[in-house]
Amino acid sequence: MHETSGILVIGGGIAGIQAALDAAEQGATVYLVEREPSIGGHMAMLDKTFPTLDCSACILTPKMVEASRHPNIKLLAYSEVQEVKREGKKFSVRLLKKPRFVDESKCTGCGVCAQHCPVEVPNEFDAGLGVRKAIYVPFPQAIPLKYTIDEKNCIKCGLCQKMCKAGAINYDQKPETINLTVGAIIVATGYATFDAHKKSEYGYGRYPNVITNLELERLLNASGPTGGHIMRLSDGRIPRKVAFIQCVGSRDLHVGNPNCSGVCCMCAIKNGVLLKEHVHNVDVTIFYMDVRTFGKGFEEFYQRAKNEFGINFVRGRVGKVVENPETNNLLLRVENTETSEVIQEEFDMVVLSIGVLPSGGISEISKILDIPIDRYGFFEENDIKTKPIESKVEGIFVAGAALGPKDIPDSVADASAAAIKAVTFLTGEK
Amino acid sequence: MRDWSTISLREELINEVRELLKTGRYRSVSEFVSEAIRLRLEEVSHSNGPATPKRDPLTTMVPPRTEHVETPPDIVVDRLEQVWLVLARLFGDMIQKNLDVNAEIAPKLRNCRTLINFIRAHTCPGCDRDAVQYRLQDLQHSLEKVKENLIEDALRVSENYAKKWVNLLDEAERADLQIITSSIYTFVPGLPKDPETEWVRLTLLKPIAKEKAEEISKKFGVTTEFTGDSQLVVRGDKNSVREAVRVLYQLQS
Repeated sequence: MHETSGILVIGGGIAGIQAALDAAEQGATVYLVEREPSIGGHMAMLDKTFPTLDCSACILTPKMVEASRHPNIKLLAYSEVQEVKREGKKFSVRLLKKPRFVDESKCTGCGVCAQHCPVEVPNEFDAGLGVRKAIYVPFPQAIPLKYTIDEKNCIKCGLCQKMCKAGAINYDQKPETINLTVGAIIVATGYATFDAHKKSEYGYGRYPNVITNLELERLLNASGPTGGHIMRLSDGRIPRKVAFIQCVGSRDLHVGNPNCSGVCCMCAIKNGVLLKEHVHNVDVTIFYMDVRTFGKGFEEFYQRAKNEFGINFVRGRVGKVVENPETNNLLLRVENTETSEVIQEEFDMVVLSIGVLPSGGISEISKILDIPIDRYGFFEENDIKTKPIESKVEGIFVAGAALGPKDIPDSVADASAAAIKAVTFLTGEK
Repeated sequence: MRDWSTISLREELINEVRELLKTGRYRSVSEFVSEAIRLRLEEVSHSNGPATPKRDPLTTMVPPRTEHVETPPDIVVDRLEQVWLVLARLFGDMIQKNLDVNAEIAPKLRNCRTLINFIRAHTCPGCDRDAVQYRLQDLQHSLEKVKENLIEDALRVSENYAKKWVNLLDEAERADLQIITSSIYTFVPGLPKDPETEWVRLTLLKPIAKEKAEEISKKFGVTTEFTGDSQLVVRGDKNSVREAVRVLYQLQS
């Protein structure tokens, strides 16, 4: 395969990584572009995966390491696609490699710079629960393991420069333009989550013990900000009574998202089970509209959660969450629609199962690649039944949650399919 | 064919060594005794003064250990991390001294760090043990390569310089060094979580007067809350917070 017949994979989450690995294994040169400092995406934030409760890191990190060491994969993290032009049957691509302000030829990844940095800000990777320094790697298993100065929070105190014995700090580093020519493109830009502040009735942002399911994932994770210890954000106390509120920002016309997010029911059940395993005698209640456990082994897992782990399931839409200012406990009022009984109950912690939305940069990528998005805001398939991973533009394929809410197995399946399609497309050209 | 001899030791001594085997640092009593003898011989040869024939520092290094298959990966990786830390320090020291260092060293050290972090993340019962063992061997091999390259560069400076680092690496190999690495737990209960405002927690090298901090907060329209003598949380509008933090930091000097 000719060098310029490479494949550009946009997005370094599980779908992008899988597509890159599969295409590279077929002999294609792959350029894996990720806008964040590390690949890994949302999956890197998760603790366990449903329904098997396999460790998320155990599945993902070997793939991340493999992608970084594969001879056919050129990893371009902290880079963004700026322009794509069709030139005959090829695509001419312009990328912007953002400055890390750290000389990659000198940084060993020792982390001394971060130890001495005086500035701490919320760590996006920990869903804002933990803190990181102004010079940082998002998480210990980040790939590439290159420290990055967060320009907007750095006060240029010079401590990192002083402490870095390797002399890797370079405040004068400039953005770099990279030009590529590729024969096919795979878009795997993933998804964004619903901003829980928009459902003000649940008090997210006002009440510290109202958290999202992504935040709970970080609390449950052994490499998370609490080392896997479940605690309330207000006082660090272990919660004994936890409520999950489902469909926050999904199946909700008030916030403009009529869709089911597909994964939240299983996420909540899985996290409920994990809570039961982490905290002795914790009481878990899931308030739901419908339990949608459609995948292989999902229904069995739901039944186990109910019967074996003793998780309570209450069918009803919670109207409002009110905080007791003295205890920071949360009062929920809800009608059980199966019994018509109105329940008013106090919980130590409330977890909002926030919906899956199109990724933040999807409109921009759509414009750059000239591929349409559908009425739900995700990329539109060429034909949902017969060409589900092809875009409307020949040579551009889409995989994973960039097409709509998807769980990990479906995203991986999409990615492998997109890789084969892209390689076949290139081979067909020759 | 190699010749072997049997030696006699008191049972108490042997029992102490057997206890040590449980930590995974040595795989057999013989391995421990061999290493002990070699180190003692080295000490004796040093104390004999200049008459002792000169030895290449590379040959005095503890040979790469072939890990026992049952040694838990977290124990092995603890020791390898110490080796990595010494190598990273050696690399930094050579850069500081403006010495010519192989350009591939930094990326190789980063790769080794990646493997260390990878192995650390794979200690749960459900992990693929073969993948961990494979990466562990990969790490050992990569560290050996870096060590060879760096010692080669160090030898160009002087034999003494190289030897100093070889000794440190030996200590790390024997897990005698305890270089502290930073904790990963970063959660602090009660930190702000308000989407409308940005916040920064600033740790100063020395305390500053609260009145002065309040004055600066007022000037930039931010709020400042002390969470320790020399630690404060600054909240407010994004640009104002950054400017206020910069000025607060400069107050120390």
